[in-house]
Amino acid sequence: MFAESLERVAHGARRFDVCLIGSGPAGITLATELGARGWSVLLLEAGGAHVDPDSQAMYEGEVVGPLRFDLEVGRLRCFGGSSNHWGGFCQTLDAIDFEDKVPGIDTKWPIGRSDLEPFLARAESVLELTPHQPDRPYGEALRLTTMRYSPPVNFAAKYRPVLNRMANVTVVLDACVVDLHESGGVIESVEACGPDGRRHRLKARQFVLCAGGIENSRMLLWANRTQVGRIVKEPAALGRYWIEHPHFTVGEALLEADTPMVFDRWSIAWSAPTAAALRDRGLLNAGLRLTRRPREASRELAVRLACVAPELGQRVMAGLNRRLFCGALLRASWEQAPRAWNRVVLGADPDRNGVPRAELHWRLDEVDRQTVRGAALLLAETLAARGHGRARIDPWVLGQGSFPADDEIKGNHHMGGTRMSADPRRGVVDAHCKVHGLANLHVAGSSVFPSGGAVNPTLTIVQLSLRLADHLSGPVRFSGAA
Amino acid sequence: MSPRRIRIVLILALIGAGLLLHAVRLRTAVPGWNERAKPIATRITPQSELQRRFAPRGDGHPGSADYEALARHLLEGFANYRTPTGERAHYPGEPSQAGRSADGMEGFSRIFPLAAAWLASGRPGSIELASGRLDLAQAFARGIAIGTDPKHPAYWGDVGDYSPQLVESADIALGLWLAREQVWARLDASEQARVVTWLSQSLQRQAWDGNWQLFALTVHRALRALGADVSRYDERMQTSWEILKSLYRGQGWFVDPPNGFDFYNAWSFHYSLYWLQQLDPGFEADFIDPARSEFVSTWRYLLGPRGHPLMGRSACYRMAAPVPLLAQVGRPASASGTPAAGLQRGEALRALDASWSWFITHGAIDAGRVTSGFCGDDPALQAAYSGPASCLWSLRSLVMAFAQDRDGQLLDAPRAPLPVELGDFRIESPVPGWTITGSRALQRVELTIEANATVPEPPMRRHGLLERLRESIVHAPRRPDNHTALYERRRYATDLPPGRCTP
Repeated sequence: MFAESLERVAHGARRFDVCLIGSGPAGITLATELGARGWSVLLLEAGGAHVDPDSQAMYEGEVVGPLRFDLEVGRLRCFGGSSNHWGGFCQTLDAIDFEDKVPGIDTKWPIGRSDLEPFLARAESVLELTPHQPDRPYGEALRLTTMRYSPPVNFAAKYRPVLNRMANVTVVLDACVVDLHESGGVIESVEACGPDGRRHRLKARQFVLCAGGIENSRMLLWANRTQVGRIVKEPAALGRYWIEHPHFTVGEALLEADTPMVFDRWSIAWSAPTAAALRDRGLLNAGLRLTRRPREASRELAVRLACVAPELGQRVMAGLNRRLFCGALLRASWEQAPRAWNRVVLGADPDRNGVPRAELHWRLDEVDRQTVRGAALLLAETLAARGHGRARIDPWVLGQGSFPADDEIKGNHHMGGTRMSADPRRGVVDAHCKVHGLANLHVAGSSVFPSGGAVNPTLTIVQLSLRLADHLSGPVRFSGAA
Repeated sequence: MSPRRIRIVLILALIGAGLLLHAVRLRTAVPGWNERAKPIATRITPQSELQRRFAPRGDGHPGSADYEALARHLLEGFANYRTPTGERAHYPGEPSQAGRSADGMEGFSRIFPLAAAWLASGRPGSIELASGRLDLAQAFARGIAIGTDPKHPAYWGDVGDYSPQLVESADIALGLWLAREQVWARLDASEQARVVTWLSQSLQRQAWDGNWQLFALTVHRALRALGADVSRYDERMQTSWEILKSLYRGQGWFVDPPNGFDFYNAWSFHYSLYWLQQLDPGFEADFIDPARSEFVSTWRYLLGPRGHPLMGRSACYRMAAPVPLLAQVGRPASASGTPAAGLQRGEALRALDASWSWFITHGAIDAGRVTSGFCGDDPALQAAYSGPASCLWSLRSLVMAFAQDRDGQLLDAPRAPLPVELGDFRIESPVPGWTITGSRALQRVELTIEANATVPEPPMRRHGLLERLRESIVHAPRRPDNHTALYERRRYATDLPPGRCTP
């Protein structure tokens, strides 16, 4: 049920079984799961029922780095969180994504893919995904992958009636958590600010931060400051190893008619390096997408190609009349190297609740260029070797200059900051997403990802949330793999 | 075709060519390309006096009086080339791609730390010029007040991402801290506020992942040491520091992308690390102290009485090569391979003497300025980003020497021989993959980079007629790309200097 106000909920000094902070896919999944098991659940949402400019303004902050973007644009501060505007793209992480791939780059998870697989079917159901299609090999180093699409599920629309029916679940909107209170290694209560600016304490047996890939870090950083280091006792990794999926156009391609690429409903043909290729070439994971272009753009591309590869150009021009080829934009999104200096910090300016705004220090480096270059060259080599076409790679991918600031840059996939690790010096939460050193504070969402693979994160977020729900409500099988 | 028609065609062709040239220059021309300063001979401390003072001598060595003469010569040069408003100095030489305004700012900022160290050392506050005396503190305070005033026509300009101003801000900040009692204190409150505002821009701008990260760090620590509240940039600076540390490869060596290992380790990384610890005592001591000690334990072998086996870019910063040794003066001997403290000081001073003596007698100083090549001027060694005053980074060894000297106690101290003056050696430095060999009999030092097995050795390209012609068309630097010769040769040696050099 939806509470009338924060004040009314706080008034009774009730102690809930669990307090969930944030109502995006992670928070709502946990609320429905735990609510269905009879837990008394308090779900706090900082924003209101719908997107509101004033509320969004609370997300304003600064990106410090060569590639800047607006922190208040890529995420939504309202019930349902960013599921109110997501695209519905879903894939599972590859098994290799849980492992170290490049020496000196820590991409290892303390769990393996097998630890998430038991939750896949339920996650697919939550997200109403199209059926899974196995990857198809393409040459020795590439595989043709399939994107799975959610309608996309809007968690607010889908689960509002469900949560409203659950008497043991209390949803409070406009309840912005501004502090955590610890005593003896246990979080006793959270302090939340209502729209009138008044603060209220809310108690629970368990607390789960589900506020998103930036806010989870920000909240812990702030609480750790106010509570003088009692929240994250070993803060070396707090806010750090923040990652995105860089999104850039890396070139273009002309494809012959007999190419095995299959363009899906978004006119995209997906491919990725194989695990063996990643290991052999020392690359992090990458997703390549060929987006079919209109015929005129293809003609222009063929003319340009004719200058550098006359034979192919002539064939292509001939093909143009016979409609035997298509031109495609080559784009890549890849696994960013987790770096300690890519991090969320508390900025100098406070928001209206007095909490310092997020300052995101974020940049790409040469390992990122190595990843995108390696993946793009793999595709170009494979296309040429198999006679399926030619790809032209943009000079910035092959060179050493800046990453183009006028591209899409990122996928609004905010990951890391409260990464999962068995070692408190290298991570904030353990393999069960519990904050190291505290008995009852967990973190849900992509902020716990130690590395992000090259796939959209929502499916993994839901898998992890289901796993956390099982863990909180009872024993869960944990293989300790990887 | 009638002669009249031919004339018309020729005139039209000339007009067309002129329009084409104009169109090209609109796109390519560097501002102020043709406004070249002419060399002005120094009168009070003439070139000949420097040559005499720093000429090789059988016994004895240059002392504080000689280094003071050198500094006076350079400061007199600055006075000769500075603008009437005093916030820039336009030295003679090939312009950089950044244009005359930025080049002129370098002419101010890159000599300011020398003047500041001079003042901080307690030396006279003014120097003699042919036209009278120059009050150094007043001159530099006035220049800084004007350069940082956005309302003044001679304003240095805002600090932008990857901008020349970002680089120069570090020298301005360091100089202000060094001469805080003479220059900083002379600025009134509103001028100080403007300076803080201008310098603080550097803390918000983007720098390349490399030695550039040190510029903002230096500004930050200098401003903090001067009493400015820059705490809102603390986290950014921590990020800069972590990025810089990620370039560390051990034994004191940093890679500087995309160039890798080169002499920037000495005159940029270790110079800045030294000053960061002066500005912020104890700063990252656990990391910096051993890095400095380990670095100098190898670096000292590169320095000889006949120069050093230079590889890499910015050859004209050559006299700054002894910086890592000077950074160790006064520090207790600790790390293995580090000479004892007394020897350390004597050796650092001998390295300073040797560098300045050899290079001064080989054309490094001319008409109050530092020339642009390894010996004299040599555009073939001058990167497109280097202008007429860029080579004043060579003064970094002098800055450190003067800053540490009081009443000649350092500069007149006894010297100790350099390793190559003591015997033959062969030293391996595994991190950069360098082998340094020395021959006492030949006074020769050779650097071998085993990974560079290119045969034949890549040649140095000259700045020839073709480059001159291209520059005259586009009005911008079109100097030869000598990166391969400077980085990919297998051997670099003191008797194989890069570029032109008269023995």
